Amino acid sequence: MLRFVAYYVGANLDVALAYRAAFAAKVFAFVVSDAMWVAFWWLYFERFPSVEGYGFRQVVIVWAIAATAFGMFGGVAAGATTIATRVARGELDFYLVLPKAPLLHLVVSRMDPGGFGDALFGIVTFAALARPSLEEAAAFTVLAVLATVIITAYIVAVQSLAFWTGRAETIADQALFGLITFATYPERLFGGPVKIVLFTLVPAGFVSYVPVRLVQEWDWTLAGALSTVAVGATLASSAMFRLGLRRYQSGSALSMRG
Amino acid sequence: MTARPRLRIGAHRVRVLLAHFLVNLRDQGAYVGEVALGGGILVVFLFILGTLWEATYRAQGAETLGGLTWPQMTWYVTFTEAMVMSRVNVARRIDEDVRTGDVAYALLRPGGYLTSRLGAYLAERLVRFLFTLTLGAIVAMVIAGPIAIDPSAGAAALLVAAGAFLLEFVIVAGIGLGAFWMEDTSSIYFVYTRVSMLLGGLLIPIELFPDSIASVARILPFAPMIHGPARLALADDASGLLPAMASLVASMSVAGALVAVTYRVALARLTVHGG
Repeated sequence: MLRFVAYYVGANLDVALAYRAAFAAKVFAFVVSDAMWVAFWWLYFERFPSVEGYGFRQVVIVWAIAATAFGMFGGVAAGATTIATRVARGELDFYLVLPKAPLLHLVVSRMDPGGFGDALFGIVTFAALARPSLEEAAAFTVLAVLATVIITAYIVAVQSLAFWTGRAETIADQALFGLITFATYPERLFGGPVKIVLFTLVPAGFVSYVPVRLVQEWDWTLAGALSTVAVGATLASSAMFRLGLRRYQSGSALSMRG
Repeated sequence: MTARPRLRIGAHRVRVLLAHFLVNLRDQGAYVGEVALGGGILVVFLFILGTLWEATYRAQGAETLGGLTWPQMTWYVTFTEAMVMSRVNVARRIDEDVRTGDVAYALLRPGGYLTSRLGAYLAERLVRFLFTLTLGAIVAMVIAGPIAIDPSAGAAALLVAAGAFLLEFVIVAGIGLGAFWMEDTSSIYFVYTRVSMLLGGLLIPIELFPDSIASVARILPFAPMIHGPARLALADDASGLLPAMASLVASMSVAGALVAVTYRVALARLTVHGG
């Protein structure tokens, strides 16, 4: 499966690099965008030493994990963000006749070049500003992958709502936006019912808060729990997609694929 | 075909601008869903920023920060978010017009190309701004409660906001005109939105910036567009109106001159094939 995904990523990259200037500009734009947010936090911590126990280094780790995970999602699995539209238009037929699982094909069929900018920013920022130890760097690598898996599973689940609701683009966009936004702020800002939401409906807790805790202080039990969440979320979202597929109706549209 | 660029502002052009504005104002009803989507995003942002600033005031044990109380800070962020989230991506539309060649046909219309784009932009921006400000005010009321706003300062802030809309059109139109030379201008617009967000004082008032960064931010055109109207709305009186307008006019003069030159050079390069 990894070889299959790697082949798709390579092919998507070839397509993106056909417009090198646009690709480079988009990567650069995403790096600048992320940098502006970290610059905001730098300005903030220049004036206030900490907020709810978080200092600049902690926020840098929050941003590094989130940017790397969302970047890898964009670079490898951006096809997940197209599921609702394809379901609504009846455009899944192409994927249903392929030898590999249709969901896997769909998820890796698209790449967002901006994802490379996010991932690049996350990794460089972590290395340069957080100045991690070897253990922290190893933890960061593993946790960024787990966070990417959880993001992908979440987006697949939300996008698959289209099988039941007909259209789900708007709610899916809101869900992705909410996930990104909450995942890039310190965990301790949120409490009570909001925190429950952030570990269920909008799983920023698993994408960012738990990984940040683990990078700073490794805990095998917590790491095991996060891995279980990643596997469980993947299985649950795949099952939801397969269940939804039974309700799918083709648009019978003829199209050329180059 | 080459076209002679016209940038003179006369009574005829103002009438055409008004006509475009009114026609597009009527069309805005068709985009209620998209505006409402932005509303959901605004609510999330204001909730998070309100929480962040509440925690900051609590941690500092301060009554005021940068001259603002916590409720005022929440309303400040509400106003700056309304300025930013009501943005209209004119750059993308100009970029598309240049690539598809539609710009050539628009040039033949009364008033010229940029007049029609400005009329459409102002109509859309006004509707988005009123919507985001109203929704933001409701959220701010829930989060931090009401605050006293001096009527003259509030009116002055709206006037400066209108000037800021015009300045932003000039800057963003300049980015869109880059399509005459570049493969893709969307990345430049994206960078512009992020840099202006930070240096314009969207999330943190410029009074709280380190001195060196604050002095740079005050020179650039972003602060008069975002921080300026928001800070004026929270002032005790309208005495800040003239300095705020002076900053806008200064930025407009520089940006306007650059865009006028770009527009002339761009149209001189315009070549239309076929019909």
